[in-house]
Amino acid sequence: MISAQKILNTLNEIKEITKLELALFQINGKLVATTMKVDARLEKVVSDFAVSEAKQQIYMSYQFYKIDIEHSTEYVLVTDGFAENSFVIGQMAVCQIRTLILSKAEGYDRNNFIQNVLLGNLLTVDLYGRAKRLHIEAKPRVTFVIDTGNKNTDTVMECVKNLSDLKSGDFVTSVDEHSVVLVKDVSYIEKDGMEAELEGIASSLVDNLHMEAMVKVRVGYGNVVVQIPDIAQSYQEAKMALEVGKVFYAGMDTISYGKLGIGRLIYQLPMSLCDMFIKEVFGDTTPDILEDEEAMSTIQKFFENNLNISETARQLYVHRNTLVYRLERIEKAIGLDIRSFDDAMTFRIAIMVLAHMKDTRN
Amino acid sequence: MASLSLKNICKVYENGFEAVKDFNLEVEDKEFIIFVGPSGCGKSTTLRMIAGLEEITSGELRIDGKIMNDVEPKDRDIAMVFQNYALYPHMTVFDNMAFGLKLRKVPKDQIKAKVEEAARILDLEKLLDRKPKALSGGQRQRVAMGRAIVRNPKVFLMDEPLSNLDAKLRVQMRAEIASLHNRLGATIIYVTHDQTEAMTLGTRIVVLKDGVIMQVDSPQKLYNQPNNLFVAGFIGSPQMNFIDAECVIEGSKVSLKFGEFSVELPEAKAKKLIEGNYNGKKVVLGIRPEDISDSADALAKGANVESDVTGYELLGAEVLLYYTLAGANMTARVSADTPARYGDHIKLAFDVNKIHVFDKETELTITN
Repeated sequence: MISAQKILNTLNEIKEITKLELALFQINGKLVATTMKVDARLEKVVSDFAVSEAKQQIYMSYQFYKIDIEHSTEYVLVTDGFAENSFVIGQMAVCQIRTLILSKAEGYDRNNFIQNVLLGNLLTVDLYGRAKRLHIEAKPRVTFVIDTGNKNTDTVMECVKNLSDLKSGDFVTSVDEHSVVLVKDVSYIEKDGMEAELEGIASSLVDNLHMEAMVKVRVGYGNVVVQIPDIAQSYQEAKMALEVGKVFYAGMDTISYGKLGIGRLIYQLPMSLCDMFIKEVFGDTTPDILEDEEAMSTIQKFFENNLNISETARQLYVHRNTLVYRLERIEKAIGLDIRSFDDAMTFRIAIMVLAHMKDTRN
Repeated sequence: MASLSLKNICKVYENGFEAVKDFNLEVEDKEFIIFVGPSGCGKSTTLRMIAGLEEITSGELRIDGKIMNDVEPKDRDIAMVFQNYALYPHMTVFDNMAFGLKLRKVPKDQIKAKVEEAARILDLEKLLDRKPKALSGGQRQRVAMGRAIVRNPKVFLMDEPLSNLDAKLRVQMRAEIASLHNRLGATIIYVTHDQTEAMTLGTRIVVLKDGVIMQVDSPQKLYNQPNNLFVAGFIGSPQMNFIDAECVIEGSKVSLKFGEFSVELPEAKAKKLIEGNYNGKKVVLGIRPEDISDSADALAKGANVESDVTGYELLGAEVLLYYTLAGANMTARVSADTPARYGDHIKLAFDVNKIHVFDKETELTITN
């Protein structure tokens, strides 16, 4: 439903150009918006006019026009004052208001449509029919989900709408309280440069929202899909990218479903399997050293340096022997010698599995 | 504008990764501070903690004396400019600059006044009605700056704002940002990995590596008196030459031996090595390319070395000569009228007063 303020703005603009006073009524005589002081008698006149056969009527200094939307009269426009060509002006005002109401209704429908597509609420047969009516074609699209945490999404929505080229088939909508969804037409992007372009779009969303909305956001995005029903799949992928990213790639603002790596596999493991694996690696109790900040940052740095002791020691500003001692202490605690590739890999996966278990249980 | 205080700031991610370790810095009002370092050194993370876009794990952040750790970004009175900025394509320059203020429901007359003032500062007055596609790269960048300026913030935070620009535009924008700092009298914190940008813009530079501050100093001091091997190598282009050498102390004379060559250090530098008991120990000799010369005057003073030229680059007013010495790749920046050419066997003189010596193990500076 279009807001009364928007209609009033339009009436004011028409008044400024034509010097005619205008008022818009519902067919029951209820006033929607007006530029003039409304005579109380008009309510009755409007409601009578709405059910009459006449398309246009004159009463005192007022002229009445019906506004039909999809073959039924929805509003009555009243103009006051005489001007040259006042009938033509009245007809043009009707045309203007009808277009405004229809475009708003269509916009609403498009938004409602894309929300239902994202959530998979539409039967395939209905989906194609509605898409055709709304002139939405199948083309390569990617769904970006912008996670705002628990922050209000209004300003984020406003920013994203303005950043996107909505006329060309992008959609910006929201299906929950903490995220904004951008379904982006990517047909203009070459296949070879797709990954870099998508990363660029995601980074641009993050940077602009940080700059303008000043809200910390993370952006997850799915794979490219072409058919309209598949947008739901791209949306699910984007959501999963955010969830997996939160567990395994906490420092990253943009996460692509296509680049989740081993995190995607671990995230889909059932809890029973995770429990079994952790028991196999660490026994019945997980070692306390996993809570030791110094030990964990040592291990992290050691992995970052591809198990190179000298380089890790240099970067940690400790003597090589000190690092070797620390690694031996870690070996004693966890039963794995992370200096060997197999044990390092097992430990790395175990840490990711533990993070996944912790996240699931929370 | 405002002062900033960062005390014992740490950032540890849930997976144990320590992005920033015990970061301490006092930023005075109107300072232009640069965070510089290689990628992954924690410079952007620190900036984002100041902005409130990243949680501070421990430590204390104050802006103008007020603790800001738990204050929302929008309430910190800061403005940010990031690398991947994008202008709103269908809006005019005026609307692009006004957009953030409209979001904050600032009254229209105030918006108009602020945008016009920012446009005047940025010399964008004649372009206010244009759309982004009708602007050059530099003008677009200025509009992005304008978005930050209209907020009239206490502190500007800039994260590699010039990274997406071509080389020519970067140089031009660098000058514009420096001039903007002077005109606004603003406190600016600027992140870059480009040491030329750091040297030309900053009143003070914070050099970071692996989440740790390596040195905080003025550009001149960082260049002439680096605290350690990392800073010495990171600041300066072409970078400082490093040669592994052995320290030989004979009475009050100290020489550094590398390969078949030996360089005697002046008294003040020698004293530091004697006091540190470096006799017979391995050290690293550092010397900047411009402190190596092939002129007759310099060669007459001693401290000479010889090598074959493996590369010759004419830069216009000067020439870069590449050669190897005791296994180390070296560069000398000499006058353009040098007769040396690729393949020539040449003599070069080190300016011993400009030699830096570093501890091989700790990598800390022994003498500058």
